[in-house]
Amino acid sequence: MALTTPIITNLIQPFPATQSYDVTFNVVGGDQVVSNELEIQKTLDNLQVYLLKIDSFQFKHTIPQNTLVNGIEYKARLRTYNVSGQYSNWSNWVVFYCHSNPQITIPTIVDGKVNNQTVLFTGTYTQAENDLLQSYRFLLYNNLSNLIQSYEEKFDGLLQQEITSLENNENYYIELKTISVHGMEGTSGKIPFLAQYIAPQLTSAITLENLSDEASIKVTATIIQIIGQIGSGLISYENNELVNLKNGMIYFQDGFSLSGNFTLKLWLKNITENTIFLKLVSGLGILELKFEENRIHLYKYANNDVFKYHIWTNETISPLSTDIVYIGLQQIDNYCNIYTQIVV
Amino acid sequence: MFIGVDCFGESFDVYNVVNNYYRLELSNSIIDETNIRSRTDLDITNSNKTIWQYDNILLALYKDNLEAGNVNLNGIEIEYIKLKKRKIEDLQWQELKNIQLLTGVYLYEYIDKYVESLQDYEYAIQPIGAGGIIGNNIIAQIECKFEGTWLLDKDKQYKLLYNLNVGDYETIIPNTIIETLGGQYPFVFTNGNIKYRKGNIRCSLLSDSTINTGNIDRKQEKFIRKSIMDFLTDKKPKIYKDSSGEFMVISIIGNPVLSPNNNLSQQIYDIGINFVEIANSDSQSLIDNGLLVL
Repeated sequence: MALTTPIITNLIQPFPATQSYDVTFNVVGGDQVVSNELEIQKTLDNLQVYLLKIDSFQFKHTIPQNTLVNGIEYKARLRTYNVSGQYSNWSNWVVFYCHSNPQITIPTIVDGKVNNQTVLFTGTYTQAENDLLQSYRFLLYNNLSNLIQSYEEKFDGLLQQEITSLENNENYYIELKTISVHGMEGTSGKIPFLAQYIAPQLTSAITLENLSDEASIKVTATIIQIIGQIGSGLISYENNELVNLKNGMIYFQDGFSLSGNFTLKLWLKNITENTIFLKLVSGLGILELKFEENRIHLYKYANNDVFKYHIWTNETISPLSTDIVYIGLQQIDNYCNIYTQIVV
Repeated sequence: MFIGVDCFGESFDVYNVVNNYYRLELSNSIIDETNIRSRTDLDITNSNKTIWQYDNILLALYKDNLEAGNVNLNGIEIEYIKLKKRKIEDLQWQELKNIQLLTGVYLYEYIDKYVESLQDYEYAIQPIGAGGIIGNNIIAQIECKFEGTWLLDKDKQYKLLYNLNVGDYETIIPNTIIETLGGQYPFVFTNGNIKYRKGNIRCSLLSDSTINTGNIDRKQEKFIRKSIMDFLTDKKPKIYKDSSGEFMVISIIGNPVLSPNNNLSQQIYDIGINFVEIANSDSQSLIDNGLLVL
């Protein structure tokens, strides 16, 4: 019996010369293999750069790190030896590249954050030996590194991907994977980021009901949108929490409907004395509040001005212009109750 | 004694009808917050502020704007509300509907028919502002459960319950076995993508009138027979779902069969259909097959 010609089985992927690499081969039939010999030459000038025989039963030969040089195309072949020192024919040449790992970044993420729910992520790709980019793909993971979505592979060289519907105040990971024209795979690794942006709030109830007779789910949401308008004069805002109506009037009408009983609470300051500062208008009349003689007075007028209703707070207050005054008002079946205090 | 006059000489009446207010005006002061609720069991001496509650009618915070509903915009105008759902074990949301907000309308309802039985779902509503700004989700969970077998499309649905006979579900994965000379084991080749289900069902058609009264309403039986045959032969994609949790986007294949019940003088019919699965059940597939409109 003799040795059969070995076959190098793994298509040698580009690898950094600074790392070791396992070349595997297969042998069908023939004598038992006790050694193997690997030869590597530069394809450019057939200069031999590596020739080593190792004793091993394994169908594997490890190219040590730093044996080769990045940026160069090589070819490799291998032969085997039996226990008697006889050797097989050389295998076919297999061509491969050595390239350093590409540097891939995603500069869209600044200080670990993105500031919108829809973000156009852009990556950068640099490779020391000018191994050009062939294709790329972005992958999005949740905060537990579970894959949410693998976006389509692109060949346009732009290294861009728009990602939508990022949830506010949620942590994610994003990864950019690349393949070069010589087949070198690169990755940015999983880069963490936080999606954080100013977002409209929705404080309404959503209720769900299983309609088993209709094999359906009923979703009910209560959504109330009321936007005040300037009725007259000028208004201004203070400290992002107060509205100054000393020279203006605002009103709420669109989306506003106050039928039946209610409780109204008001926090305000610097009330102009002996003037109306609150007015509720209905088709049947008006309810007004005034600050008179250190009390809050409530007046109700019917439209024909025949009926009048007047109550006032038991409490008296003497607020400074900077003191916040609290007023509580309840209407139950057309009877009213009113209370006031200075809020400490 | 002066009847009907207070100590200041102003006349007042205890009872007067002034309610159903449609407008609130504020002026002549600097206002911090305005809160109106429909509950009247609240203590008006309690000056603590609260966030929006279920009975709130108005809550204005005056944070550089005059927003007073339960939608806090921070100056961003809301264009619409997005309704989404997902199975509780999924990460991806499926969009169901974009709800335009209407002035004066507070209550919004949506009936989701495209649900599997014995499945927990999460539903979320999310405001979408101008410029594509997306707000936070409000999420609720529910378990879906129902009985019977249902065939439905965007506009109609039919419950198949009586004398129901559901055939085997066959999952089609084409493959070929190649045996080679000298090899002990064969090679199995498959088309990596093809995988769909087929099935068949048969049941008795009964109108609600017949079921409720116990007497065969021949006019209603005729009506429902025609209605369901028009539905089954319109060549449009449909949904098949049943109480065991099966859910498929299907096409009716072959020829639907109507079999008159001769023991009942052809007053009641059985219907039999074959179907094949044609798509996934995610939102985009439903939209592509004309079953869902956002």
